[in-house]
Amino acid sequence: MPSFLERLEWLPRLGIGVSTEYGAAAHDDSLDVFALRGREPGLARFLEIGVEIAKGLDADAERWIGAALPSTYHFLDINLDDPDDFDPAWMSAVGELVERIDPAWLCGDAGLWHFGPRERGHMLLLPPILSDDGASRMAEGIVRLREATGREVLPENPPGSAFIGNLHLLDFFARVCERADTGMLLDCAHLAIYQKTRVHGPEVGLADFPVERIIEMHVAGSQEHELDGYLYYEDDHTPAVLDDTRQIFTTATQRAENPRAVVFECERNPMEACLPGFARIQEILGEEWAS
Amino acid sequence: MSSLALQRVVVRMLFDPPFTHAVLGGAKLSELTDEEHDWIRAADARAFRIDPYRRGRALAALIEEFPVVSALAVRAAGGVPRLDAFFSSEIFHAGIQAGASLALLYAEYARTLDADYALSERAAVIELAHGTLDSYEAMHSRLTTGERAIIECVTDQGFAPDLGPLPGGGPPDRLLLFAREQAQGTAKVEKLTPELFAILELCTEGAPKRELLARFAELGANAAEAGDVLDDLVQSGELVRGAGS
Repeated sequence: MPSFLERLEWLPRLGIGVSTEYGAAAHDDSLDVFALRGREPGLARFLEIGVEIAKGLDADAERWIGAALPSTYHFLDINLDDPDDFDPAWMSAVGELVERIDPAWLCGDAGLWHFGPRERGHMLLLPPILSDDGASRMAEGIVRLREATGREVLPENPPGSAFIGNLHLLDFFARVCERADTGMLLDCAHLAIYQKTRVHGPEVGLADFPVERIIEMHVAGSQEHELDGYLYYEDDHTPAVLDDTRQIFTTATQRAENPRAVVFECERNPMEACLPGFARIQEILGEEWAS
Repeated sequence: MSSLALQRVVVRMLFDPPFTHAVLGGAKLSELTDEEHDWIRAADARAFRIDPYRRGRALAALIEEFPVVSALAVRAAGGVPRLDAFFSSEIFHAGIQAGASLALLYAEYARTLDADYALSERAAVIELAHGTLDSYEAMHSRLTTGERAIIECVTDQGFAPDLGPLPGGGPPDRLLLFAREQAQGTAKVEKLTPELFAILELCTEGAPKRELLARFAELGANAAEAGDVLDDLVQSGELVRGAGS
């Protein structure tokens, strides 16, 4: 099998896109991806479809797929580091859906999406244990999913309020990407949350990260909260992007050698509220992303 | 240990503030290494409290899923706080660490709320006609020679024409059926003495220890002997400690 850097040539350049998950567009003030694509085609070149197999696809995702528009498959229900989570029923359902969606690649937060079996009340999202053992387990899961689906699987750094382990998050994901020989979905908002939680500067660790593996980036708003003097950050996908997130995105854009896609995660906000954020992203990306 | 075990400890901490306090305060957990203890103690305790409604939401969902047993437990066992205590129970912690279903753990908790011991979900006690187990084993042994296929032995009326006596005509067989963990095999069937049957039958729906000790006393065993038997049964997996223990 060719190395990931050799396989890169098969990955399309998707440009700027938006994300969705089941029911996200159901509210009146949610982003209408079709309206956005009609008004500003360059801001919705592809749709990142968040999928929880138990829920399936909503009407908007079905419509997007039906129109054969570019997409990526963002999983919301697999603990990549747990071999028991790859049960045959889930694997089969994912395989069928991947065939239907025909995404450019699979991606998603490489963390704990649920504890115990996939059941009502078990769903959450916790960051992985940031250890060498955890990185190896995560890499094994990525390879397994890639081999089963025949698509590249890009791990994404998850958000969190407590990060446990002896590795910096970027060191952890560098090991994951190297051991799985895959690319990275760098979520700049999640990284900003991590750095703030660990009281690091926004760019700590970026210089040593294998930037040639950054294929996709996410930008999203986050909100600061306080509990008994403890500051924590909610990954709420509002258009209010933290300065640290923007700084990380700017630096990563300058250094990334093989970026293919950028998502502004703002799916539960009206279009008018999101457009200024898109404009900032376009400004940072520069002219070559305009077409 | 592994990152999976540590991740499950984190989940338990999210649901159980007293447990979090104990872990961050230095309690040793057998499922973690010293290094992993250090990692987790480096976390800020407040980070585990940022969602104060997590436990309440989970309990509400469980009550909706098991309304009858929850209602019975609320009425018999001292109100909703006893149900909320599920998230601090041994059943919850051992189950989450083992990767079990939250709903099934809750059902076991609610079922055994006033019990110190209960028959495991993997065990059952049954009564059959006298000699059923012996008759079955004898007949099965005659049919499995190892030289001919079982289907031939069964259908050939000339083979082993007398399979032996049918069961019946005496005190019932009292049996324990127990589904083992996969690594140990499939299942076992064990004859029980009338005394042990009486104890295990009491535990079918869960029983308080005092009730079990009284029954042991009626059967001629003192408290120490009774405790040993109960410990052995828990050790072998046939009994579980109930929510009341």
